[in-house]
Amino acid sequence: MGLAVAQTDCANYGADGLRNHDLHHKVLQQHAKQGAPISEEMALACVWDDQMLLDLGIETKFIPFVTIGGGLGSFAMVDLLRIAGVSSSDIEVIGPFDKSYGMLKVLLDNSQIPESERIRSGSSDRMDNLWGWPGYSLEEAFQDRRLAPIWHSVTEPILSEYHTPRASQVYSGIDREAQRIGWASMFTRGRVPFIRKRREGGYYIVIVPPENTSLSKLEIHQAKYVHLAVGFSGIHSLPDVITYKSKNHNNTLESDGGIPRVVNVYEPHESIYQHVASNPSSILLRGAASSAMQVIQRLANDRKIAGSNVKLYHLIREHPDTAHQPLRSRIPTKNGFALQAFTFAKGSFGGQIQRKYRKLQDDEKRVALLGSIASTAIPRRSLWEHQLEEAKRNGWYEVLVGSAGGLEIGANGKVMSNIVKSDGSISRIETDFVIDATGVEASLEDHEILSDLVNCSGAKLNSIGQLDVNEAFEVEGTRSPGTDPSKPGRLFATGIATLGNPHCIAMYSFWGLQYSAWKTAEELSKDGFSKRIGFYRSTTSWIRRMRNREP
Amino acid sequence: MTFTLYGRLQTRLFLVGTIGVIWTAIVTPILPSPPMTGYGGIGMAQMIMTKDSFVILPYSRLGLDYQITFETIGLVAVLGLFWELIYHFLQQFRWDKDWPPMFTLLAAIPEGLLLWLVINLIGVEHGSLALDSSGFAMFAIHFASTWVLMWLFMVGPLHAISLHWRFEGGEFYERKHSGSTSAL
Repeated sequence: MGLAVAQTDCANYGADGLRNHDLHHKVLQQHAKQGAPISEEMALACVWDDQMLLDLGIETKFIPFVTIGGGLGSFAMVDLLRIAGVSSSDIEVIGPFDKSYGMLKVLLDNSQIPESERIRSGSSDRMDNLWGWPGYSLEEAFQDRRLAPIWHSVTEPILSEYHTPRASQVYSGIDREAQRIGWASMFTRGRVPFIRKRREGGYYIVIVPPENTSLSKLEIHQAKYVHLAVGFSGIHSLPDVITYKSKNHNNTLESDGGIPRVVNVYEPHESIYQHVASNPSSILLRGAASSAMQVIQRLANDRKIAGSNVKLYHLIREHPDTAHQPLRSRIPTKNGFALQAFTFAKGSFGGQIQRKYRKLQDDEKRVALLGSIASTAIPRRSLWEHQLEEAKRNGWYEVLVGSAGGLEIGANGKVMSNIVKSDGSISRIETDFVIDATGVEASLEDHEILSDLVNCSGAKLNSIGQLDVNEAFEVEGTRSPGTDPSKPGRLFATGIATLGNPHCIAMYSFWGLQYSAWKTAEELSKDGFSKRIGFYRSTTSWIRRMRNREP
Repeated sequence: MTFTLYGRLQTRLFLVGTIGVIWTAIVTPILPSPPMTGYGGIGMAQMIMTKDSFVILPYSRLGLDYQITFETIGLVAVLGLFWELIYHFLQQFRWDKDWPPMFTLLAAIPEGLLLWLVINLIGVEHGSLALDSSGFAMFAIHFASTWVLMWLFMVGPLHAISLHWRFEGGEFYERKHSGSTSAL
């Protein structure tokens, strides 16, 4: 459960803050020594001015709006601004991947969702269509000349399962919309280690080529508005996996080309499946969310097709026990899994759960609500139900209840897992591989740019250690008014880094990214930067979108 | 759909006020009219031939039909406000706190039955409660077609005309809430 772990990480943040600050300065000093055109003194200064850059002979380029990250959060923002009448020449996107879904595709591919598989997202939650209609189901029905997708979306989730789009449909839709809004012309490939407030107003953005770790080839752009959409900071692993990996770096299965013994589900691990397909093996799988289920599906398929001989132990923290909960707040369960169609309960996407969340003034209550609706659950899919039942019946799948209590090297290089049961006793199990599917990392301090923002630009943290933003997703304390306080430079953020924000609960979802972009765009329209999207603009823009005309 | 309570109420009024009104205006002239006996009121007098004789009636045929159909959709809105409270209550028993589109479509059955009862009781319709009553055909065709069109509009084009509706639980207009505001 990514969220719970993220909370723990964040709880530690306060104690680590100082250390982090020192580290940060060391990094900047290193950059300065590696021949960067900016001096150490300058890197450490939190506010720059035009004269400083002039003295260094660095030319800056001004773009009114710069979004940093270049992933789906940036995509949602840019798409919205283009629809709200902002010209593509007034927007710059900076990120490591040419395509906004670059990172998503890496994570999905690794976690056994290739292009042909369906992702866990609703039909109307479309990154490439701000209005969500026509949804993926209607489009698929039209393309495949089939009525089934329409039937699904009319009867979901009562008579049929939710219609969910294939990954390929998501990618190709984003490609089409990117083309329409001129994404390529706005895109700069690069990494932004930090930004600086500009004394005259607005911000400087330091850009280096993504593969460069030093600042020796930097470029500096200047913007009035900055949008941060930097996503997850990395692949999350539980502490025992990290310890194991750092201690036993070389513990791979040498006989078969160095296959890693312990992996995170979001890391490349195709070699494990290929090994298992032709060698009797045992695997311990950790985590009870859908990424774990996706592993079970892959193994079940391989077993059926390649006849592989695998024994899978599935370690879950506890069986969902809902009997003591009131009927109104009881999550459905089956086969020992809690069932929930999407990462967040549906009413979080603009409905009454989001409204309830918004009324909570207390950060702790918000976090508690977030934890309860972003529960570790899998969507109801008949394929998965069949596969789980078959797997249990044939004895190749076994559920173990307990928590992870450390990993060691066992006999013949196998991995020994310690499992702590609820009564405190420890049992040990030895398997060929361990696949950890417990989440992705949301730690703010691992993001160079975000920790710098806290250290240097006045950003504050909320109670779960993410960026403190207001209802328009503006980062509190980071305005850069310069000489004209009535029109300050403003800094916005979206995505996982704004978890715990006062307005939107389903933050790490397609819907959440679009929602926050919408709130930001509404705020920018008050500044006169973009136009308000009322009935007229919404309808005419939708028609332009459907005719594939430039916004 | 992911409605808030206010979103439900606003969506109901919006759909009846737009699709309901436009469709009723279009479809009423071609609906099978009930016999005109028993209707009264002040209006343009008109001579109509019934089965046995000529009678003078205060309404034109079409005027009367429009009166019936518009009073009917008016009641879809008014009674609907109470229905939405019930749906919102039932929504509380769903883990996801959502309302599948199928529920909205099927709500036509209980709502239609109650509506038929009400329009007979308060005299919008002068036939009998029996389903072979002379006015039932007009009611059934009008109500069912209006309902389906409103539903189709809701699951489809309504998304295109208002982002606010999509993002805020079916609300076009949002009451200012007392949430934390920016201290910037």
